Amino acid sequence: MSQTISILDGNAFVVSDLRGDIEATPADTTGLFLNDTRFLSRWVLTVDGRRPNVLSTDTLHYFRAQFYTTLSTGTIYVDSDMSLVRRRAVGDGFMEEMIIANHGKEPKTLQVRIEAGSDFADLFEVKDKLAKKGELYRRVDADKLVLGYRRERFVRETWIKSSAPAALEEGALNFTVEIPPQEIWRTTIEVMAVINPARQTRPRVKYTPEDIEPRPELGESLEAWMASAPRLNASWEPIGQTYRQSLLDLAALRFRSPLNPDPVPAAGLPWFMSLFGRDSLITSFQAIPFAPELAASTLRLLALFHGRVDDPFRDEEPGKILHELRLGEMTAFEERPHSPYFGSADATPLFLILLEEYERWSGDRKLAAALEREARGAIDWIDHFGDRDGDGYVEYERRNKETGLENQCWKDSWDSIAFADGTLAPLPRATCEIQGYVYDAKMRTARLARDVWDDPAWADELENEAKALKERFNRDFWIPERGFFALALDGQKRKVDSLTSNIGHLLWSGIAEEDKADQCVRHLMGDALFSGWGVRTMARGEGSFNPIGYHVGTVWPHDNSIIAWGLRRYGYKAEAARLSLGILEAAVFFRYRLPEAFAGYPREMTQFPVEYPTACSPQAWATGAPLLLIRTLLGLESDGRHLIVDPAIPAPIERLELLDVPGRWGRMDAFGRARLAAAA
Amino acid sequence: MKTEELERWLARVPKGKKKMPALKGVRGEIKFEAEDGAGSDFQRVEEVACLRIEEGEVELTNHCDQAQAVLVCDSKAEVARLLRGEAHPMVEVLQGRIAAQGDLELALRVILDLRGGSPFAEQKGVRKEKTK
Repeated sequence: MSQTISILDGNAFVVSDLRGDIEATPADTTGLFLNDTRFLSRWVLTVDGRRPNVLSTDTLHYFRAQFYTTLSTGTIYVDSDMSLVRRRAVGDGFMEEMIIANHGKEPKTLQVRIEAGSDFADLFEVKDKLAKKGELYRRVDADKLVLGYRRERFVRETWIKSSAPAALEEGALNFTVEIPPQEIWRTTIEVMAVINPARQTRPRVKYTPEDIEPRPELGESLEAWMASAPRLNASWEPIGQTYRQSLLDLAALRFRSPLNPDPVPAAGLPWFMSLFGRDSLITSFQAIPFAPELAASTLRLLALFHGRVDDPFRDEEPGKILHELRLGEMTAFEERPHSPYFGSADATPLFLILLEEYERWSGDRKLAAALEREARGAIDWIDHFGDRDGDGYVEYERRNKETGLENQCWKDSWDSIAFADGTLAPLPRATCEIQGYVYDAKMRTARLARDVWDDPAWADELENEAKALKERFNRDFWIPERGFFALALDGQKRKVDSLTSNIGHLLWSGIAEEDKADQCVRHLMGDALFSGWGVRTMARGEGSFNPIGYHVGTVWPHDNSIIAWGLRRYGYKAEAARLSLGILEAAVFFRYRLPEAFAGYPREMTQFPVEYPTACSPQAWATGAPLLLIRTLLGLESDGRHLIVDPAIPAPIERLELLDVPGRWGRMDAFGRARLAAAA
Repeated sequence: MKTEELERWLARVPKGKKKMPALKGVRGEIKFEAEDGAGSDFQRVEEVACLRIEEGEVELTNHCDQAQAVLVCDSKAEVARLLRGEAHPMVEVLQGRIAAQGDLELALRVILDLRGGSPFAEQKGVRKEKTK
């Protein structure tokens, strides 16, 4: 069980212990964070010098938590006669209401103290244990404690104010509290995260203790967000619970800024509360039948930041779509390249895929027309920069050798691209799924060129290029002796021969020839890859396989949702249903919130999905996975005019309804009944 | 280029419209203001330039009629660097050297496009050409 509790709102979040205290060490992620900076690293409550004990802790909403604590009497024979309740809501800092109740028959006088401190660590400093280069300071202003940090003109401050009179000192708030018998004492403390304080006269935190109604980053109520999504009815209750949790988490992960007044999904808590090209694109794709507006805002924001120059430090090239945008000190001073960083070889084709999917689903020709320049730039990047050596495939090798990413595909950990004997593949690497994305991107862009941009000649050209890519890919990546596609071509154009989940993405893209797809499906659903819950990132028996290795044996829900949708594309409805059901059943064990990844142990061995130790949760594309799985089960598709419903529902679900599915048709309902046996 | 040179450059930017195809379809005015040099966190500023954008052309003038966005910079040299496409707008904003007001999307798009190829730069175009 987690020993921390997290609440978030946009890219502000608080991670504390179960008492509500924060005692950050240089290398952990507890604290109050905003814009990739830790604004509070110490927040410790004592009463008469003692730390309260936890009774119960709960997150009421994703942005609000409450902590019930008491002071120990030192013996189990004497009940405590005092309760301490902390209610905290995050948003541009946080608001904390503290209530102390005297349940005794005598008045109490207590010394309540909150120690406060901040290291103003950049999230990268937290991850990599780095030291600060600027000056930390503290002071007591008239009515507030100020914790600050300055490096040249980069200034960040934390302002702390209490509604009850407090004796302020540099690093603490002290209260002398007198509580009559059967009475309570309360105060409200505002902790404000202030960016460039000289230009902020009256910063405020977003919530007050009286706020009951969440106001997520969207600016609309959570209820309105939930109500705008299609309504799901199912005879199998877990799917409804998982669906609801997904919508709630997606609401929590959305963020907006002055640059994107419409919300965009951040990638995940705690490390990735930021704009990521790949994550935001895939999450938006997963959410299209449920919240298509996320795709529009993601496309607009990524288009705004598309690459303009050839900049090796940022791995930026003209037309490229970004990998990651960060706002902390190390990015500001170019000690990290994330302003934004472009080290992703797949975000650019994924951008084109989402653009076409969104237009086909929503009928929003205006956005597609507005983004023609960026779409043409993206194709140009694929052909002239993505294909680094002119061999007809997109490959990657970082140009920023110090702080750039070595693996620029979705499996971006150091050991993910390895041969069957476990040796790492030399760079540059052309992973198979990226070629699939490129194929799909060109086919889809051809459709837009013909239907929206009125350029049939370019459409023909793109389709011809895509067909040629498909032909050579099926020749160059296929491993006939093993019957699946190579994970990648390495720097020497050798086939990287590990069996991995990446072959499932080839089904989603449509690049696999039918006979080869059939062999891949048998691998995907075989014991080496399929754990019983889902498809592992790498098959058992491969040299690098590790059931708790980040990309070399764990099961990733988003990966599986893409594979399931790919199985549908090639007509493997029963297999898609089986895979979808496995992941949805796993969600039950995670209290309906799928983590980023879980261990790849066989289901028959563990009986429950085993947690991966450092998985992000909630994480955007894991949150989106149930949505794409529901789409898969109902077989929802847009043919450019109508909503197509082609359900393939496995037996335990029996009946599945999705009402008011938004799209170019307005709102339509989708129904499905189980006609498949439980284990296809 | 040194600070004084950038300030001199700003004072003698040739007038007239310049082609900037990346901004086709964009229309608006961006006002550039500069701090007076006292390090006063943008408390006292003056307008030093106005960038007019219309249908793939840009023009630098002394005064904006109705700016959609205002970029307040910590120096005139900073304004020059932005116009010449030499500054990364996100880096400058995060460091606190620029404060943006108004239509931030317009401002960011224009400054990023200037970075991609400013008609005011002495060496135009940094795009790398590759052949298969």
